[in-house]
Amino acid sequence: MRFARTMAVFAVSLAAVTAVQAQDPIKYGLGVALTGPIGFMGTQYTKGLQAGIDYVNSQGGIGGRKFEVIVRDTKGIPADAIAVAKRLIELDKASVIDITLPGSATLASQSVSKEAKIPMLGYTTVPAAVDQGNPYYFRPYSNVNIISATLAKVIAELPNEKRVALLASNDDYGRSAIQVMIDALKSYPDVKVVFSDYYERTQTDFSAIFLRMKAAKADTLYLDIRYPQSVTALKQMAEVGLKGTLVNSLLFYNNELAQRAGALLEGAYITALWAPIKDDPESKKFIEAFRKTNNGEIPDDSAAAGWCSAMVIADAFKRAGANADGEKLREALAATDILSPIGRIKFNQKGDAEAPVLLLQFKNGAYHPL
Amino acid sequence: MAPVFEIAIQQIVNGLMVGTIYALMALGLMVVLGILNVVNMAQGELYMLGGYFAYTAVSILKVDYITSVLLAMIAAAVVGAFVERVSVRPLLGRPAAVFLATFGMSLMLKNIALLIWGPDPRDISAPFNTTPLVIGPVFLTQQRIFIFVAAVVVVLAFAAFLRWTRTGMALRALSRDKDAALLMGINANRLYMLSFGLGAGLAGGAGALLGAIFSVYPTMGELPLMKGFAVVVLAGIGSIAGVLVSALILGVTEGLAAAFVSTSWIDVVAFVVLILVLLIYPQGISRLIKRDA
Repeated sequence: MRFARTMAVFAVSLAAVTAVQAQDPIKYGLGVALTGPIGFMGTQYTKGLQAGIDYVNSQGGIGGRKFEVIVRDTKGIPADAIAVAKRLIELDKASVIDITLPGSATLASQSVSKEAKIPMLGYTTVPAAVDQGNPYYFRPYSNVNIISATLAKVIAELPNEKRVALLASNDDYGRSAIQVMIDALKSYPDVKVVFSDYYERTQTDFSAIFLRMKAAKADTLYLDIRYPQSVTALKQMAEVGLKGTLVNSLLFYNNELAQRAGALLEGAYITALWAPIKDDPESKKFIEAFRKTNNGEIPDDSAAAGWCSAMVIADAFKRAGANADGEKLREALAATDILSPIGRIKFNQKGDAEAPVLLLQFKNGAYHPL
Repeated sequence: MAPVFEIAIQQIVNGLMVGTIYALMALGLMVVLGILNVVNMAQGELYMLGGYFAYTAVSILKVDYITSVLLAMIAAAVVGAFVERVSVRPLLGRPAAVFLATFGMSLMLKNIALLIWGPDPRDISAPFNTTPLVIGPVFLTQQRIFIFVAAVVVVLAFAAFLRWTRTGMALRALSRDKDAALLMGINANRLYMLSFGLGAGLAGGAGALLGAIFSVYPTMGELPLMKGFAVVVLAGIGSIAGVLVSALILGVTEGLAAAFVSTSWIDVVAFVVLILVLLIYPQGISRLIKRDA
């Protein structure tokens, strides 16, 4: 009788432990640049992701389990990003990792995800991000090829002489951005690339570059410069008397930049992953949820990317089961087909959603959709 | 005028302006190196703090920009004296330990700035007209002219202080023959703190001046520190004029490299020139100029 009672107590305890384990949260491991030059983008991305995770939990979580994010700062340094990816997988026991900003950090840490067979996201537009032979990496956003094709069309339709100067950062991202832009412009024979160069991430003086653009008689300026360097660059452009139509990728869609250098941005054509002017149901849901968790703050495109990451992973877990392992989650991610603020997310064979971009123009101190 | 000459003239002018800022950084490093034989790895962060102090003075205390530069120099000097007292003086005579201590202090100051002012860049509001003045082929703004003039004035004032004041003479004496200076009754500890404060004040002034053009952020001191060291190596220890000439050479070389090679090759070209000069004058440019410090 005593034996039977002991066994009953043991069975009840075991069941209780199992139940508690079943209630353990699903961990989303985020390694992101929260400090350093692009810390402001990483912060927005994290806020968007957190808003998405809070929203999923408010809807009952995933299969009875809570959804939780573990955030670690990579400072935007690829070597730190690798260490963070390992830590998120090995110590934090994350079911999925997300190494975001800059693209070099996403590229560097893919080997960690591949080796551990843990699905991975990473907010970057660098084309090479989906060419690393890592079947566990997925990109739910747009990419540089789509952005460049959009801007090339804008340039071809400008009423000026279409003498284009290109400037991007001296790294993998910048070099691929310029190459892809040159390739995209080849479709338009009357467009001439008269200047291209690279700047250093630590560079503060752009005057020599702008003087050379001026000497090359460039009238269309593709400046792929990150904030806050973009503020300095725009001021110096005015200082050397360089005038032309500005075209830019995602980097010039930035409310802080608009506040600090708005007059210098006037007339610029800009692409963005998303903008709060969108009024489709998914965007409205995102804006409402984001504002609720961020004291009424209006989200930007980095925040939208973070929200989409949370939605993509939550959707995959719901289809694969809340206790899915890395392989099952990978299979579910590959079959993703959801609507989001940035549009329909459906991955191709490389794991690239190739989401569309918005085209905006900065006029009268604000961004307007075209 | 051919575009190539116009660009060259503009870049020489730009290089001279940047060079004067390098000179401020390098003088700060040299005075500490010459007197304490200490490599101050926190000099870049003192430069950064100068920018933040000026920003705070303009935006919170509502003082004018020129006063904010002076306040930034004084506040940076106070922080520099603190750095000397807590991380250098207890370890003097142990160069590796002092090097590491100032390196640790640089990390600490960077993180303190991050805590106080956050990671977002801050703009120092300066009262200058942004429309460029066009003088022949050269475009100049009032702000850049002010920075150049202010930096030159600070360098000259520093040279005058060292040459004609009793404290300046004591500093020079300590630099040239420490034992003899101590026998003459010079208070070494006081002068060590003063030299650190002076170096920090110069760096703070540079940060406050350039912060108004390039904005202020926690890591802004890393590159100027490297450039300051390059100038000290090029100049050699002991001459303010040597530092000024070396800084201008570095600034102009970088400007021309940016214009005629690529901005991504600036540092390569500048350091090749530095190596070539040192091959010809191994003890630095200062040997060509009369010792004055």
